[in-house]
Amino acid sequence: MSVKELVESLHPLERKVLPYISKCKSLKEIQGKSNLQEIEVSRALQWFENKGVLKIKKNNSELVQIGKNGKEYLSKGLPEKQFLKAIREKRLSLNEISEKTGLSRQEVNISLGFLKRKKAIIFGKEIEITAKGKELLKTKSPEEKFLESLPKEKELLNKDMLKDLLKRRELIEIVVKKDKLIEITALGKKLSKSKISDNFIESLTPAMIRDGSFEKKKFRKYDVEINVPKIYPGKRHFVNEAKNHAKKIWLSMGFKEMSGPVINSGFWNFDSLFVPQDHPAREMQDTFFLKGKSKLPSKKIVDAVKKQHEEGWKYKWDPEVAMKSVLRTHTTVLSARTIANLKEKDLPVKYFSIGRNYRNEALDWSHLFEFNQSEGIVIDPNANFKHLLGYLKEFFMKMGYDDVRFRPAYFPYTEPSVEIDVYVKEKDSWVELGGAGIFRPEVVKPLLGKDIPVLAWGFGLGRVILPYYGIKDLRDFYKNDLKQLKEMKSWI
Amino acid sequence: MPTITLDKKDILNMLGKKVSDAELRDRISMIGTDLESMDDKEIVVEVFPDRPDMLTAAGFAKALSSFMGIKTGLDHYKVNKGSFKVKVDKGVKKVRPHAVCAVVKNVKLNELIIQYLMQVQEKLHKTFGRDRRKLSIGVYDLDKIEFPLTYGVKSRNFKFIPLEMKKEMSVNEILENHPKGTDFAHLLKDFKDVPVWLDKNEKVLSMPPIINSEDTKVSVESKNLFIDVTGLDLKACEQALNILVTGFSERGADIYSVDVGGKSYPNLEPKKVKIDIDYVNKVLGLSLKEVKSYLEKMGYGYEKGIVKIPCYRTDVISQIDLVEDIAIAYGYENFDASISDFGGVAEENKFEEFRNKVCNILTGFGFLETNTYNLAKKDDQTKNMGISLKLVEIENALNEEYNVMRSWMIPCLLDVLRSNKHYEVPQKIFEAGNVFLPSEKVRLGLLLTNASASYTEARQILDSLFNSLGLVGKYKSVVHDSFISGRVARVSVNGKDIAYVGEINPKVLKNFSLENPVVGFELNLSELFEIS
Repeated sequence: MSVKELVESLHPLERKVLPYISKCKSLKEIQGKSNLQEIEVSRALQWFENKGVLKIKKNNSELVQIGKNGKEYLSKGLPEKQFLKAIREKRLSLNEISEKTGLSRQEVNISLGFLKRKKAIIFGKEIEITAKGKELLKTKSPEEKFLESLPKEKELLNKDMLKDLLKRRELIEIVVKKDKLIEITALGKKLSKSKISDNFIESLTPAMIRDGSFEKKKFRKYDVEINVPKIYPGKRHFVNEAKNHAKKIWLSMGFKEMSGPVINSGFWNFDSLFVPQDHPAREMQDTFFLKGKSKLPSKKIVDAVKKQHEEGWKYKWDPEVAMKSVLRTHTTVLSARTIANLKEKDLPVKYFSIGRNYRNEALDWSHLFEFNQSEGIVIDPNANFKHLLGYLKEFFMKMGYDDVRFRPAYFPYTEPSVEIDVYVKEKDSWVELGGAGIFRPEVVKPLLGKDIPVLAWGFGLGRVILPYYGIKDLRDFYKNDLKQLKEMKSWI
Repeated sequence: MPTITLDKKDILNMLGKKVSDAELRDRISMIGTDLESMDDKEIVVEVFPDRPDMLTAAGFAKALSSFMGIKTGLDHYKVNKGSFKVKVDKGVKKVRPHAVCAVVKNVKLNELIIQYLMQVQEKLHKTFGRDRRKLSIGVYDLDKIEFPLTYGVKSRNFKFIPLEMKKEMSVNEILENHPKGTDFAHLLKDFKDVPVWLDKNEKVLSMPPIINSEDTKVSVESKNLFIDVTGLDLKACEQALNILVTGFSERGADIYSVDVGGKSYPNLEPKKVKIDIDYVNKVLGLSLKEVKSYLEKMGYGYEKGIVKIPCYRTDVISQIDLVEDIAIAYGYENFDASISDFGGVAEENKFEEFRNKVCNILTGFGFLETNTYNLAKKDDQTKNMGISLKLVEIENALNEEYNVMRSWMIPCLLDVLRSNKHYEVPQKIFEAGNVFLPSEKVRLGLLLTNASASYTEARQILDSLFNSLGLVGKYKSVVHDSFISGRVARVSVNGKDIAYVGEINPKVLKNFSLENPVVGFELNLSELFEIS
């Protein structure tokens, strides 16, 4: 930057500080001479450095100053002096000394030790001053001289004395003094010799626009290349952004959105999906059970489900078990409820939902007790396994995954069953997302009245969106760190 | 789901063919088990609950060999007629009614096979046996026992030497002190007498489903074995027995029948199910001309539309289960994944659409949307808010901190502010989330905090939101202990009470360790949707 350009870009603060940079050596010195605030000088110096006008070197020095007790002692005298004064005329006991001087017992004891070492007293039941002691009373002790010299830089002080006095409570203290040394560059020297006009426009005002005065003056030039403080817009939560994106994909493929309650009977969450009542998934460790019971649906559906369980799994189905209230463990419960409400004329039809599910798990990076699942069903007499894989592949392609893999799996309510893996470039590995399949006739028949192919899937959305946001820990979804929320990129 | 560890050399031996690691990995994943890890020595796989037959190393190797086309089709297992008899006492009927048995001779045991035997028992007990409740297995050295045996009951004072112990213990002592006894004592807690297996000389074999006796223990020297499965479900007991004996048979042992109260076990004859090739093609979207080759790859037999199902398969309930196996044999990777012709009419849930709109409006005010748990901290919902409420409680929360369902949003948002105290103010947040009253509703909570936050600011946003939705709110002074008295309003729209807006009570702020004033509102979005 030329000197001329430099002059035109000077901020008013820089103009105020400029006269001092060739004369002064430090920020504190400029501050003292310019009557500017420390922060103002500091900012101006920083800008100067950015422009190559000067170099800044941090200079932190330690300063020793009088502490809280030190101040008091300076006016009243050090405890040992007060001690001596008290017995100058008359021998006294320690208690009497303490009373007369107002010194604490501890202060008296420290003084006693000190004075004994100096041979200034004779110790007994009552304490007597010596000639040496009287001598001491007349002169200033080295400790007093030391205290009077403060504040002073640490290096300049007697080290032993400093060490001794630091041991005494709040007599003296060390503070760190921060300063910045400046060293002016060749450019800076030229600049400080230049004629500095302050005839620049700092801020454009409505008056200037009205009266045209801006035409007579130059605008001060900004450094448009430097960083400015960051600001952020209000934002949707990144998980919801991803949910909305996934939702758009299902809508674009002609799906209708289904919704329903979080609290369900075991009947809807398990029984309607042909999960036997003694299935391990129904045991305490996986499922949140709520106090109280839920109602069962119509007798027609209950009887049909009961019959299917008793024929298929060969056990006595218990309505009490089905009535237990649970937090839904999968959105597949919505699929079951939706199918149960369908009529012949509604078919074929496709549904999706993206909703929260609940599992009674201990929290860690890959397990949450609440998580989002993307659920879908296609109820169509002509649907088949190839279509199931087709819908899933299409969805994941649209979510940004080119490689989708399908493996055999097991779920009590689907046959055939599929495990969905996607290839995550960032991890260079396959990530397991969740299940899909065709609902078993044992699920569909009791709910719909007849067996029609129902393609179904429900996979965790969390793992699908982790790589996009560069998150490694699923718990971040619920962390609500406002900085992270502000700075998170949008789903594009 | 159960995970088993297999000896790689042993598996490759049984496959009888050299297979590369890559192929092994791929085939194990595509047969319907989940490969956890594989190195030079071990293969660790997760076996799905529908295939307990793959929990034995022999069963696993057999399924894989068939799937890889090395040795396909149905295996026939010969059951030699044995002269072993078991008497079943009436006493077991209430306690553990069913028992099935088999004798296996000429087994070649070594450390590995014994390890496998323990593994398969443990895994079958855990999953298929529902933690020994539904069924449990006992394996004994045949040469240490004398027939006929009795499956009966004994009192709780009855004594024998349990496995891994040196001296006799009574049943009660075992149930109270032995590690296996304490683990499974609950299965017998309702019964006065306990089930036991005894031989001709009253020698104890075991006390199912708890523990075997030390006297009849299997060791590497054992040549012949006696196996029993007892439980509550006869069919499951038979299946578990079949899985074990066919496993031994695959390794060259001879199987002998046992007469249990007049019935002969094991029964290793295949079950027969009809299959319709058109149905298979319709479900899978294929046009297969035959299904025989695919079924044989999965270990089935096939003849003229009839499928013979091996005796160890527990999962084939109907034709659809065979369709899945045909799909696996065909190879999931070989399906041409394609969307159906049926287009359908898309339809967004109207409420969800509304919720999205409201949230987008609030971001326009510079607010950040948060995402908090529906499970909540009880004290935050009530005590810390200066109010008492009846909450939906969770019976069995693993994480004790979160043991109720939230009934309002503001406490969750205050919790967010609490965890963000180290950042600068102003902080402006909102969330539309489920609440449980116990009826489920969606409520919108909004909070803003800064050193001078006031009622007016919160009220302006609420007014403006109503305005965007074409609604007008009416405000009425009200008392609510979570807010500052005289600075909280009940808000109604079209005559319906729908929100609170105000300045949060400083006592509440203290409870949440907050240092700056907080203002905000709680709005019933579900009801607002009904009105608008």
